[in-house]
Amino acid sequence: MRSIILFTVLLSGLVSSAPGGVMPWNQPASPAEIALSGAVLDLTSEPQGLSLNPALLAGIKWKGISSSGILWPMDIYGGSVSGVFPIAQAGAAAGISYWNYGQLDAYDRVGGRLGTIEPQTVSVLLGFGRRLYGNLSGGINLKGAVFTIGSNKDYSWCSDLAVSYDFRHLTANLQLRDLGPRYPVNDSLKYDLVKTFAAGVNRTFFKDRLAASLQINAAEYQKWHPLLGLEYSPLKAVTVRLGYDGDDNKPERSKLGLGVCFRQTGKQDYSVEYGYRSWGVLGTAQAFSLGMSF
Amino acid sequence: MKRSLQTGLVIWTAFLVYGTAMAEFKCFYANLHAHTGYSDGESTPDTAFAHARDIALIDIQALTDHNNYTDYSISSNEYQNTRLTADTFSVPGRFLALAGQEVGRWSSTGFGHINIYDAPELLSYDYGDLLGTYQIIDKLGHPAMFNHPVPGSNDCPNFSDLRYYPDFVQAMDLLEMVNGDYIYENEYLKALNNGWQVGASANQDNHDRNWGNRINDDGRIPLTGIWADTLTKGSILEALQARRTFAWLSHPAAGRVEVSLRSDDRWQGDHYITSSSRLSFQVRARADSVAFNRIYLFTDGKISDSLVLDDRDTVWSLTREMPSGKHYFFVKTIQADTGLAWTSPLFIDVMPYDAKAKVITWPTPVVESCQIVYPPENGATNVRAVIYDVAGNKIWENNSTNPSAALNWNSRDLKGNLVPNGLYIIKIEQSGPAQTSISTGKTAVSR
Repeated sequence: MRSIILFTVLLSGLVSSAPGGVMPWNQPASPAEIALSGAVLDLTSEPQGLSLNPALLAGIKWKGISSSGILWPMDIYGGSVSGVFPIAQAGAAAGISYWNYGQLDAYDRVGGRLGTIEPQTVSVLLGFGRRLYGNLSGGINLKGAVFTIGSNKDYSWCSDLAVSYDFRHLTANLQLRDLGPRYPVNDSLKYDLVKTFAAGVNRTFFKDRLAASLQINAAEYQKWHPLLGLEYSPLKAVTVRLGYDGDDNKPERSKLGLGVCFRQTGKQDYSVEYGYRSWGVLGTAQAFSLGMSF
Repeated sequence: MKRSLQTGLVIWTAFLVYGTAMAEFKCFYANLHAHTGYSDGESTPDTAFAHARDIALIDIQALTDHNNYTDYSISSNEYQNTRLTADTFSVPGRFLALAGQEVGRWSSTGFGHINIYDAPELLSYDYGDLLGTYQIIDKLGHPAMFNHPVPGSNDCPNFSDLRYYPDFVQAMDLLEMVNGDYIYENEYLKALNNGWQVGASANQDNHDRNWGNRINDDGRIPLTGIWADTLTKGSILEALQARRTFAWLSHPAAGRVEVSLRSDDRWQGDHYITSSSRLSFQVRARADSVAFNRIYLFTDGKISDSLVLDDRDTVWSLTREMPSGKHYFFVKTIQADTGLAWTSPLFIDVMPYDAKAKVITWPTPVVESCQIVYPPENGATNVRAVIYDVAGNKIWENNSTNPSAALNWNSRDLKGNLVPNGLYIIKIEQSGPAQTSISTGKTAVSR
C-alpha cells in the first residue's frame, strides 16, 4: 500500500542552449505510455514502465517480456520489445524500439523531385536498479539511438537517473532524464539535451483495485506540467486506464488517454494491452502489446 | 529565343476590358538612387527635390546619400534634414520625395552598396558584415535594394556574389539592374536564380545636378516604374516591398512607357502558391510614342516566349503548362528606338498534383531552411502554419494575412534554436469569412 505525497519540484542550474524537438528514445514504447502519457513513473509494473523508472527495477521478483506495436498519427508507426529480470537485490531491463516515420517525397530547393525518403529510428535502452539503503532504491538507464534518413545517420546516447523511496505506505520517485552528451544537429554542431526533472507518487485504494498516480514534469525551457494516471481493475483479469497530461505545449494531442489491459494469471502471467490517445486533426495514437511474466 | 508552341498566343484588341481590370494600380516614375552634397554629390536636398519635380518631371525622387563611415558620409543631422525636406516636398498625388541612405562600402573589405528607404535614422552597421547588415535591414522592415551589382569585381565581393540567404529573403526587395550607363541583366538573373526574390529597378545614381533627368552616354534615361494605388509615401513604399515595379531605360523624347505582367489577379512581384500547373499570363505594354518591336517572357531565367510586333499599345496573353516546383517569370520589352524595360518577376510555386501529403516542404529533407508549400483555398484571408515535433510539441508557428503565401521555416524553434534532426509535422490552417480548412503534412530535418 502506498500513500500520497506531494513534492515540490525545483529545477535550477540547468542552463544551455538546447533545441526543441523530441529525442527518439522518448517516444512511447507501450500502450500504457500512450494511455497514461508520462504518468507511468511509478504506476505500471509492465516492463516498459519499469524501464522508464529504473529505480523500481530493484524490487522486481519475476522475469517479464513484452512486445508492442504502435500506430502513430501521420502514418508513423513503431514497435518495441522490452524485458526485465531480477538479479539478487537488484533488477535489470533491456529494450529496443523501432520507429518508421513513413515515406516522404524528397525535393530540392526549387521543388524538383528527388525520389522518396523513409526516416527511421532505432533506439535501445539498458536499465539497472538496486536497493541502495534501507527503503531507498536507485537506478540508471543508458539510452542510445540512431536516426537514419537516406545515407545520413545520427548517433546519440544519454542517461537517466532515478531514486525511489518506500516508507511504510509511502512511495515517492524522483527522476532526472536525458542527461548525457550533446545531441548532434550535424557533424560539427551539437546541442545540449533538454533535461527533464520528474517527481511522482502513487497510492492504491480498495484493496489495490484502484491505483492513482500524480506526477510533475519540468523540462528545461518549458513550463512544468502535471500528469495524472488512474488504473482500475473491476476484475482481476481486467484493468482500465485513464491518463491526463497537462502539457500545454502539445495543443493537438488530447490531454486524456485511455487504455485497457487483460491478464491471465497462473504459473505464467499473460497480458494483452491497448492504449489510445487522440491527436485531433493529426490522427490518433494507438498501441497493442503482448506480455508475459514468469 | 523561340515562340513556344506550347503556349496559346492571343493579341487582344479589346483594351477596354483589360483597362478596366488594370485600373487598380497607376504607374508612377521614380529615380530611387541619387546623391547631394551631403555625401559625394552636389547641392542640397531641397534643390534636388525641386529639380526632380519641376524640371525632370518625375513622380518620385529618392535621395540616398552615402552612410558608410567615410569622410564624405552623410551625418545624422544631414539625414534628418533630408527627411524633413522630403516631407516638405511631398504632396499626395503630385510628387513624392523620399529620404534614403546608401549603406556599405565599395571595397575589397566591404560587400557593396545597399539603398534603404525611409528609415527613421541613419543605421549603425558594420560595413564588412553583410549578414549583420541584412539582419538590421530585415528587422527594420523598410524597402531595400541591391545597388549596381558589378559582377566579377576584385574591388568588391558584390554581396558575396549575390549569395542567397533564406533567412533574409524578406530583407531585400529590389535589384538595380540599370544604374546610370550600366545594365546588370545578368546579375538580375543570377540573384533570381540564386533564390533572391527581388524586383527590377533602374536609377540614375546622380552625383551632379541632374536629379531625375540624367542622360546616359547613349542618350537614354533610366527610371523605375512603380505600380501603386496612389502617389503617397505609404502606397509607394508598399509597392516597393511588393516589388510591383519595372526597370525602364528610354530616350527622353520617346515619352513614357508602362509595362505590367499579371497572372489573373496577381501582379509582377507577387509570390504565391497555386495548385494548377496551367498558368496564364497577361502582359501589357504601352508607350507614348515609340512602338514596341519585341516582348520576351523569361521563364526561370531563360527566354521561353517572344512576341514580334510593331505597336505602341498591346496586350499579350499566353498560357504555359509548368511542372511542379518554384518558378519565376518576367518580361523584357524592346522599343524601336532601343528603349528597354524589364518587369519584376512573378514568383509562382506550383504544387505537385501527386504529392504524398497536402503540405510539403522545398527542400525535403530540410538542411537549413525551407519553404512550406500547400494547396491554397479560395476565399482564405489568413494562413497559419504550425510545426510540431513527432511527440506533438509545438516547435514553430507563423501567421500570415496573405492568402496562398509562401511561408519560410528556417528549421529553428520559437526561441531561435536549431531543431535536431528528425521528423516534423506541419499543420496549415487557412481561414476566411466562411470557413477554415486544415491541411497537414510532414517533413524531415537532416543536416
